[in-house]
Amino acid sequence: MAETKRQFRIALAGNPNTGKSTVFNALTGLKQHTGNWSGKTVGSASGSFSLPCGDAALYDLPGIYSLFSDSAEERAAREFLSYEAPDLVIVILDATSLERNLPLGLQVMELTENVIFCLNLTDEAQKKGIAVDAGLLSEETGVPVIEMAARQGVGLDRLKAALTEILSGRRKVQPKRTGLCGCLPEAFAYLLESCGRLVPEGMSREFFCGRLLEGDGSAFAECAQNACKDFWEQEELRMRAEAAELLARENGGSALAEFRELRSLAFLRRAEEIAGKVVQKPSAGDVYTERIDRFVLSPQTGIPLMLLLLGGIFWITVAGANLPSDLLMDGFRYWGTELREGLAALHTPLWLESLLMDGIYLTASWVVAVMLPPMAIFFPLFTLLEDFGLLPRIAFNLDGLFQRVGAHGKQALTMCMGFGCNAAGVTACRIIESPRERLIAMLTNCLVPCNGRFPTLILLTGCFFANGNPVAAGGFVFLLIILAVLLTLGMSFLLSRTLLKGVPSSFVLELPPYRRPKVRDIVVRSILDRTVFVLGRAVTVAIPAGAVIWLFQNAEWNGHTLIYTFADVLEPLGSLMGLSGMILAAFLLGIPANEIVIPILLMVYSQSGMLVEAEGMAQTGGILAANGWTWVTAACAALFSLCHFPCATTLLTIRRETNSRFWTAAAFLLPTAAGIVLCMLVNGVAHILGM
Amino acid sequence: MAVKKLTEIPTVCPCLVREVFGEERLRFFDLGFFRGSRVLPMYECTGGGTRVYRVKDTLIALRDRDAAQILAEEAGSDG
Repeated sequence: MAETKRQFRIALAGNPNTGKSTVFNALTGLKQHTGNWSGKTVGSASGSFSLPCGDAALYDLPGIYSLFSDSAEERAAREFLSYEAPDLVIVILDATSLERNLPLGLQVMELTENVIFCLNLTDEAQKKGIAVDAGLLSEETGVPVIEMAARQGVGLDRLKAALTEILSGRRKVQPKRTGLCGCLPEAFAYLLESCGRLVPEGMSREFFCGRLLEGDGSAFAECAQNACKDFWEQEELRMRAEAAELLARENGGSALAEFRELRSLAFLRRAEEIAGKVVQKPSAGDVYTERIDRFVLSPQTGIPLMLLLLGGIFWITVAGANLPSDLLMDGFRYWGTELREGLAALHTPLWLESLLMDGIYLTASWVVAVMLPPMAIFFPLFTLLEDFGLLPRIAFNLDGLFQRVGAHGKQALTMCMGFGCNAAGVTACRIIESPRERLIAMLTNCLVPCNGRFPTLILLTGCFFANGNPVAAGGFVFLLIILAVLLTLGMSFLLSRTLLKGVPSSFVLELPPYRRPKVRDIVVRSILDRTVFVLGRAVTVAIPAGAVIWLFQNAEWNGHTLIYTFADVLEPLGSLMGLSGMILAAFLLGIPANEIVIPILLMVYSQSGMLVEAEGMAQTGGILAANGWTWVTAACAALFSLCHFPCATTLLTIRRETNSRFWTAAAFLLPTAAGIVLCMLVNGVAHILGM
Repeated sequence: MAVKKLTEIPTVCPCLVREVFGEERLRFFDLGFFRGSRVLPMYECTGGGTRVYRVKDTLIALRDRDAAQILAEEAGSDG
């Protein structure tokens, strides 16, 4: 009989932004998204790889600083390490800031014996002139230390060899534990003796009893929930814990609340002491980072620099997307003709052929052709900034503004992401820890125009305000972007004062050192992770929506096509808003993707039964003007395009992220209501002024 | 040297943490702000209200509301 190999369970722990995900990817070959900011790993990812001694399942835990604090990530990581009893824990330590990383490693050592320290980013440390004596670190802690530069794949073999040695039992790790450093000795001894049998298998008794001594309800609940089989055991545990507390007081020990703090400090002090022995660093800090930061973080140059960068990215995206968009469109047209011939050969009824080709195929291919190129340009560029380390700095620069409107500084980042795609922006809101501020960021994300709305805005401003002058059109679009940012800030302010009232959560942002981006990786993962993901969702929505649009344009009711009937119903509201019923109808039918609003209008105006692409700006402007558009109509349409319900993909994403119908509905209604009011105001003022 | 709130220490003036208050105390510890840590306030964001501090070889941005929970005293540049 073939011998079945054992499956080992290995956990990866570490501070945020130490390269955990890079190590994870290097070991498992999975392309998990990694980025140069803290808090990327929100859920915990898992993958597998094989070792000579057996297969290993690897769990990438969220980045945390400590096992004793109480954020969601810390709880998740602690519970996994404590109660899932992995066979081995790899702790990733950043060689450039060992002292800050070491406390977590020391805490993990309390929990389990099988620990390996991965001293990562040794290449960066070397560049900064920081030397870490890995041998001495291993001696001081009793834990094997593997030097690595995971981004370059250096040290992986050594890590695998060490894993094999320990997992196969050939090497025994004997961590030198920090312990409780003499706090509450009597109470601790009592707990160890009386509760020892309740401690879950694979977990250190000392750690478990230490948790019980913390004396706070949540620590007790966690212990009880995971350790006790029934009510009676739970009661016993409670009594033991209370007795221990009494014992601690009787013996004049520090109060339990202080115990947490003292223990926390004990790890920090020990880390300080060890780092003092094993790290040698130059007296000057990170000169390279400091030199760049002098510009990026200065109040005088920071914001202009950021505007230039973002402006540059938009410009490259919009300008660069035209040609591939046209090529794709031609390709789809060609394949469409082929498909149509195929359908005809199958004797498909004419109406079905039209529904499939003019409705579904055309809409879906349109969405792909218009969305794919800008996203394939924007996301890699954005990821480049992210990798370099610029995004948290943008968040910091703008935090003054966001703080005043009761929002989180990281909202600046989710907004930037929203410029690429609102669905991606909403997903990015996961980086905001506090639920209140995360919701604010999600609900307001669609107020920044995504790639899908840029073409509409450029077209409208180009036709009606800039007389076809591209530079002037660019200027107007820039003004609209400023307006979008102001609208977001305004809406965030209103939300934080009304629906989402509450105390602002503490804002802690780590600014990572600048790192040279790895261009090939960026292209691969930003296209795989973001572009394909968003596109997939968009196409899923576009297929049924294509059928609906076709139906609206081709099915008749009371002698009118449905779209005219629909537009008639919307006419009163539309005309109050300076638009028309038809324009509103186009916005509503354009819900699968904002790109198709203008094509739908052109389809109706040109009386064709399918989406229409105009040849050039002047011609589109002509068609719109012939159908009653004035510059007021264009201004209101641009305004409504900025400020209306999110597209279906974004709504689906909000529904999934919030898991709440209420907030999804709010995300639909709030910007729409604001848009309606704004358009009415503009239209009203224009009327009063007789324009 | 007088003990002040961290927010009152001028930018680019090194200081030593004396005490940390508030419910988030343990979190500040984890970030490196505990008694005896050396902190250097470095940059203020546009419009103010948030500052970047260098602590334990890392740059950490804190809002003033949070940084006011940390007491520190100015230290000489040597240490």
